[in-house]
Amino acid sequence: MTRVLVVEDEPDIRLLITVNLESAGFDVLEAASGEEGLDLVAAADMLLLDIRLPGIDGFEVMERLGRPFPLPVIAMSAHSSEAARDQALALGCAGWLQKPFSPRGLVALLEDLRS
Amino acid sequence: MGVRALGMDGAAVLPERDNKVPENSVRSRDLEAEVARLTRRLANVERLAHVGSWLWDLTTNEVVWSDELRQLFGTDPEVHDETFETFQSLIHPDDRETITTIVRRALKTASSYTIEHRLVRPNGAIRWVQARGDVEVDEDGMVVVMHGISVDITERRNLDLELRRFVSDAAHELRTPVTTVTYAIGMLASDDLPDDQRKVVTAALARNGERLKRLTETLLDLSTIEADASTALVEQVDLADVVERAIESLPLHATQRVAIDVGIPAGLRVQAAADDLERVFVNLVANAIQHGGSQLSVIATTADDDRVVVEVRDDGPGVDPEVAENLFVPFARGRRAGLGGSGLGLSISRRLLERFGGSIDHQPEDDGASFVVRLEPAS
Repeated sequence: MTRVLVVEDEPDIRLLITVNLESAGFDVLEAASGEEGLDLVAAADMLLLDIRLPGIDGFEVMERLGRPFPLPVIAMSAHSSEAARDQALALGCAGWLQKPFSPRGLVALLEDLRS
Repeated sequence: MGVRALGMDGAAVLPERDNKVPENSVRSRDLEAEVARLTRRLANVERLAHVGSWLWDLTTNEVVWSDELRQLFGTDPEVHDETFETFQSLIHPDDRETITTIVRRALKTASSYTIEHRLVRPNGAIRWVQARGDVEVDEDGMVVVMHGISVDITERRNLDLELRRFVSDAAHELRTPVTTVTYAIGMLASDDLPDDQRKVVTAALARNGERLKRLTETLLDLSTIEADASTALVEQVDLADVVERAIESLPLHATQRVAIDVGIPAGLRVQAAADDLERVFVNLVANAIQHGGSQLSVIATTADDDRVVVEVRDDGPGVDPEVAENLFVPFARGRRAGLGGSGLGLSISRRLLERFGGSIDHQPEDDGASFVVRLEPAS
């Protein structure tokens, strides 16, 4: 089963994403901060990464992952900044999700990347 | 009393006898006094309006600055040797080219201009100014005089920036629960969501709906404080009463979980708007409980300067050093705040207290969190 690591500091968003992905047949690992995420990343097949995080932010997490990324990374952000999106994609992200996004859209994107 | 009349050309015709009296010296003295009076008046107007003015005579290349302009540019008020180059040299390097282009265009096309730019005072301070300029032309349409004014708009620029940042932070703050709500609705719309998961999603939806409600209420509150800045009703209030009311107004399920030790001398009175002061203590006690304190204390003492010092302390995990310096900045929330806080409690508390001469600060401690409120004693 594909295991997705969700790095998101907002507990309810993390909870809903987890419930959604599990019911769509994914295995989910959760992290509330970039630091926690980096500790778990070796056990995951895909990384769903919020950009705005307390402590080290999403870009810093990507920096520390090394390049090329060891797994597909999908960035999520509530900031509608094109510059941030372009930066994320230039760093090698496999996807960019602008919040708010739909549960169906997220599953579709992950299934697309899994195949 | 001289009889005044208008000649054919509309100019005043002075009574004959005035011309015969050899009073030229007296008249020029009157004129000098009048010029001095008008100069003083102009200087006063400039000083009160914080407007500096200048005039550039292109026929002689002479530049005249007003005292207020020297004040604005931070140059020596005693030295009057300004040129266009002096002016240019004090413009912020990043704005210099724009200004030179605009002034050149105004000279070439005999037109006026308005621009906002930065200047760097000789002491290094950077100020924002709004500059307006205009020209006077001779009968051939050649510009002979250019004159202008500059107004210090630094404060307004800073307020604009602060406001923009606040609005952007508030939007982001709203977006988080909106994202959750949208996501939850998307999940509930699916027919194949099992019942147990449906319950989890509905609960998250309810929490975030509540959070949106609280956040919008707090934002509205904040706008009222700003609007009512001068209308706080300041009276002599009994501090122990206010703190007791604050604690009682908190939900029981919150206050029952903790022990609150209140140490306020009986009859200690302070100058405050009672409702606002109560709100400050509601914020502080709720914060302490929310951030994991189980043992709280609210202790009041009188300092050497007679001000009343109230310390609200808890034994929770303390203030995250990462956010300590921004604690009173709207939305700069600690990461342990979770869902409950609006991110505005402390900034609102500070604003409320400042309205009646109070203050609030965070006091770094090795363990737990400590906030110190200082109040004016009752007179």
